[in-house]
Amino acid sequence: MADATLLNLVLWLPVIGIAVIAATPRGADSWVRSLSLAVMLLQLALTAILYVHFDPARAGLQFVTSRPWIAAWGIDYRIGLDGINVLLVALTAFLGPLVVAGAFSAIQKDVKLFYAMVLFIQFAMLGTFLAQDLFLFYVFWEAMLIPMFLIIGIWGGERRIYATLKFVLYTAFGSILMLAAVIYLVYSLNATTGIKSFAFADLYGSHLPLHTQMWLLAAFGLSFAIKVPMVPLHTWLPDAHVEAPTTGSVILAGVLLKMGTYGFMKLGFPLFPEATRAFTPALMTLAVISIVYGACLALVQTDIKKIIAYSSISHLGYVMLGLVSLDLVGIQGALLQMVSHGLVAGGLFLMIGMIYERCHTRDIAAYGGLAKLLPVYSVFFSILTLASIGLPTTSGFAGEFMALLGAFNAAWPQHVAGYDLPLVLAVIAVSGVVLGALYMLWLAQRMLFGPVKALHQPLRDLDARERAILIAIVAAIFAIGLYPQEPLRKTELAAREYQQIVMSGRGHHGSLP
Amino acid sequence: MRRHIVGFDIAGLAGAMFVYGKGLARGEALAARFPRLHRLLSGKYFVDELYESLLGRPLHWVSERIFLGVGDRFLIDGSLNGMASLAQRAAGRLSRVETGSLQFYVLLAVAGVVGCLAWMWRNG
Repeated sequence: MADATLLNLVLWLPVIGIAVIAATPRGADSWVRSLSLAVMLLQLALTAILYVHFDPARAGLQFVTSRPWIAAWGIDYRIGLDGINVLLVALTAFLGPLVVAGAFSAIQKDVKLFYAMVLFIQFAMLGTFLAQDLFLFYVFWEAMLIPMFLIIGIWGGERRIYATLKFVLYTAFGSILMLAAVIYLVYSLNATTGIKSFAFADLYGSHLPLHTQMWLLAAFGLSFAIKVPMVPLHTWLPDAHVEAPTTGSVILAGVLLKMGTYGFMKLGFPLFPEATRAFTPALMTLAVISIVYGACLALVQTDIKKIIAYSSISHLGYVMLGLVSLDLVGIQGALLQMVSHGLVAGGLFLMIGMIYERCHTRDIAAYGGLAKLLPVYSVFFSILTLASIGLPTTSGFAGEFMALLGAFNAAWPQHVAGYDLPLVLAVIAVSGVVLGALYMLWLAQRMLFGPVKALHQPLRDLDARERAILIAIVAAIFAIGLYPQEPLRKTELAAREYQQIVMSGRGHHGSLP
Repeated sequence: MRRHIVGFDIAGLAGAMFVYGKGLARGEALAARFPRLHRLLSGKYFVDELYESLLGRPLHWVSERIFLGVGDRFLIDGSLNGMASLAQRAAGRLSRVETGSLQFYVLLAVAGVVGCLAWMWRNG
């Protein structure tokens, strides 16, 4: 039952959904909402089947579809699941229905177009994760920009045009450099070995000279670093998050940011292993700067969404730290942190959306004593705050701890050999945990506790739909936090493979199923 | 070692019983006799205030003024918005080439043709 056809169905289901939505008559908003939710739930169910049938003991791709697409240039339509993208695909499918359900009361105008865009971006995101051909990957990567541009630009806040243009131009600039690098890479592979192929497996473990590799990694890395986002390429994120509607923020924080780290892990580093090893100190420094700088900036924000936006920069710094540590624990911690951050940040943005619908302000100073007014809301908010900090038993702890442990594992032998920088950086990274606790707890204190501020009273507490969404997220957070072995089992072989390719630079040729 | 720690417990218990065992009166009398010591102890040695002034406020100041103000707003966003406005101003200046005057365009076309012919004649 679980096979390549099912994977194709999972990928293309949102497109079928868009076609059906386009056919609904104008004004049938509730039909559109129910339909979108049904499509997303169906996709989640099918993805769950694939997830359960994903065999952790088999290396390489599973459920592969490989058909020639543009044969003259060696481009295939090639999709598959492996240990790296299986978790991220599951995350995307999990957040899908939550995103759709979360927007029911928030979006009232152009509802058809909105849900069509949400389904479109779901399709593009899944395609980016599933693509195993560099051209296909690039097409999906660029395709993500269009619906996001519209979601922020049409249903966003006051400065939405500025924010959405900034987002698109920033990201597209990186992507164009990446395209140049892609073309050069494929051309050079063809010139040296005569193989004309865009498939990932053919391109890994590049045999290009170090100098060329460093330029190409810089081009790929720029595009991915903008998406992660890494300091100093991060300034599009706060603006995009603040001006986007809740749905846009959840999609952005929940999945889109993982594209950058996924790109590094699947493409940037394995394609250019020697350059990665040469750049490791610089990458580690940038990761630690992201952690600390993001946390410091989160501390001084007055807009709730901006705090979570900067905290995302900080949390994804841990992912980068784990990835460049090239230690198995660190790599798996990075993957886990990707999933955890998607759940926690997505949940926090959903909660901010819920309170914004009630009080129409994102200014922290306007909130106070919410624990008295909205007790159920406050419970969920506190749980998500603690998950963001990385409290043990939540998924945040597993990811952060493993990433830091990986960084120390990698830094210690170098310290013993006399090279102290990685150890110093790892120690500084740990301070990010303290800073994370600082701004999140302070936010929770100001919003939930203290004197009750005069808001739009009476406030209604969470209704059944909102509770269902948050219960799903919290359940997932605790499930991963209490039993991380389950998701980690599926990633282990792929993580080892990644480690092997980057550390030894050995090519991956000939392992296509 | 363990006995010493238990000793601290017992001493603390005994001290509390001594001061408060018979109501608040003795406690208040002691507070009046040693006001500065009382302030120090009830202020929890002012450790919180020390941390706030040594770490909390400087961190907040540096984050707000330097990281946010200079780093994010001035350097990064400043250069980005600056590049954008540079592109706009350059486009504005360059667009002056579009004069809309047919005679000018014909003149440019003729000059171009003459230049091409001259180049071809020069380079055989």
